[in-house]
Amino acid sequence: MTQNHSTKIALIECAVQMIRDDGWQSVTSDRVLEVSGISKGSLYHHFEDFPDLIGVALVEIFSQMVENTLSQLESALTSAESKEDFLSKIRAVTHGNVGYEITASRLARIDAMAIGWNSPRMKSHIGEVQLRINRGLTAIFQEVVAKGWGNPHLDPEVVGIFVQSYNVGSVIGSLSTEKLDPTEWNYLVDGLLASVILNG
Amino acid sequence: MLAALHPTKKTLVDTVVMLLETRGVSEITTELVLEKSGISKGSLYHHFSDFSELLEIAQVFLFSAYADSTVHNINQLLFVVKSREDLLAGLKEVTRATSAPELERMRYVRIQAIATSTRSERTRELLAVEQERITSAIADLFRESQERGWGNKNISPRAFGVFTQAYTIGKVIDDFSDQRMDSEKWNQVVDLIFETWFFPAVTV
Repeated sequence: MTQNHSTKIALIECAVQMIRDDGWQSVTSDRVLEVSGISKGSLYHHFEDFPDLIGVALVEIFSQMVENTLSQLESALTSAESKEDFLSKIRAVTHGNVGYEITASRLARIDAMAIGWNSPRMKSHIGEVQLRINRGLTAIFQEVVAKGWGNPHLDPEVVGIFVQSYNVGSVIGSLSTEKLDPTEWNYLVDGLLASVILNG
Repeated sequence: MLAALHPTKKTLVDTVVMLLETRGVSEITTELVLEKSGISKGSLYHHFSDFSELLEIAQVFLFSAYADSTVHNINQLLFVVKSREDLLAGLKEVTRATSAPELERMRYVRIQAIATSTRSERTRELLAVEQERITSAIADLFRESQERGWGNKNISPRAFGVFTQAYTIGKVIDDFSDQRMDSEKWNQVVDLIFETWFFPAVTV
């Protein structure tokens, strides 16, 4: 986002904060203009319409979350001294995210897709970020395989998409009348990583 | 879930479900539903507090209808399989049937229902009941496979139920990509997880 105009960034950041606080449906253009102190003319110069800003902000929220996870994985990879060390660092990252909790970022990703289905503009915003994340995860997994820690028989891109998929879909775990015990979820995921994905 | 509804209510929900097969929620208008169902506006508002309630119920219904068919397939499978190998072969078919690229509509309906449920208390309650029914049905199947000596005894049946639905729904992220992955490679990852972790050759 660095090459974007600063007014545009300010608008996105303002919308991101409001969505995090209250959910995208309660964010109005009047409130964004009031809080950001930016003029209506500027908003419509940078965005086709208000939903465009909301869409970009939703994508920004989940993109930040995934970028953050990517950098945690990268640093786990560079600092790990052995496969066991790497596994325990990966566990720290995945347990920290509390699989299946409906966090603001997971919800933003789901909302973005729910809106994006019928909006080619939104679909392409999501597609761009998705491609960047896929490439990031693919590169990390290739590195893991190069170190001899990953399963060399798996397609690195598919591994990246699979890991994201169960993370996104895991929100259903907290939607039931009966909740899932986090330790049961973590045990399943840890074992899956150790026995299938990182069994190089 | 739909069986218990009043006939008029059911017709309205059925109509929206049919429209949802080809359209997004935002494209479905009251006029369209009334025209397709042949039901009067007065009747609609007698059975639903507002139009969104009808849309929400229809989404939850679609959500559970898709999942029901999966539960049904797995139930059938457990009924016929005689060995771990039979089970794995059957699950391979289930994986291919539930993760097909053409099922993007199903994935979309489920994430749309989840998105709606986080904003609407009444949808959340309806969805929670349906979600529980599906998750516990899959959990029961896994428990049964554990009792037959095939399922990994250390894995919680409920976690298995949530996890298998999670990646099936979450595959929606690939539907947004310009460069879709090769679906068969995805299926192979799932196969491997089933063979080595969920149903290992020697039960751990």
